[in-house]
Amino acid sequence: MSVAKDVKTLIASINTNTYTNDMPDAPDNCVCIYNTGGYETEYVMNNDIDYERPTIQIRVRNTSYETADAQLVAIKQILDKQSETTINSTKYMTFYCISDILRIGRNDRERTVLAVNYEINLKR
Amino acid sequence: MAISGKNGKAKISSDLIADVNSWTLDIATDTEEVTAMLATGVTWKTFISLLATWTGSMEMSWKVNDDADGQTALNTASLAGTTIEDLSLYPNATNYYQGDAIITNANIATDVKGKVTYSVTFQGTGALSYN
Repeated sequence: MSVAKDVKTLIASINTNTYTNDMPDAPDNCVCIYNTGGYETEYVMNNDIDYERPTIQIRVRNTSYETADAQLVAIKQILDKQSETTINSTKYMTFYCISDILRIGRNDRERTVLAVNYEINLKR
Repeated sequence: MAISGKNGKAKISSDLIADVNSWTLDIATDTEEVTAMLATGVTWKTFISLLATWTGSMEMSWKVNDDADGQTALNTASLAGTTIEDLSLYPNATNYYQGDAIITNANIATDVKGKVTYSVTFQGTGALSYN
């Protein structure tokens, strides 16, 4: 399963309208987790992988800036506390917040979009 | 053609040591100068070889808690001062240098922004073979 889908299982309680990799036009208030590539894999000898370093971006869209911000803060609090969490047989060792909450903008339907970026260290 | 260290490995007897990032091996031979003082036209020193020795180091991602026959064995030998028997260092998937070794230094490093590492240096005791 993709990293975004695994992370969804951790944060879906913050907003029941949580999606992965494609944010639908409706509902107005939702969360979407995007796989955004990542950094080079850490290898060890014997042609093996030590751990992978994918990155994700989590976007929150809401008609209220304050609500969007509060939801991202709550999401950060969940992810920052994760330690060696196993989801669908993948061990998510650490979540590093690599950029704090940033404002993507407000669209013509008065919906604010905020985002946060994470680097993940995982072992499959 | 150069080869990649990615296929290398390290073992204790037949047991693979987990999560090795790198290792080094230094082989040295003591020498003694035997240049004849009275020889005419001598411009180069001459030596004879004496005893050989070998040392090495290994860096790993720390897994002492979950690698019973590999990193845990290194850790145990380090704490007890015992000899590691049949330490094998593979530059590629097939060939290896093998000998008994005593761990002379162990270092565990933890960084909040990075992985926990486990590094050891060792002194070979007895012969080193190449297979």
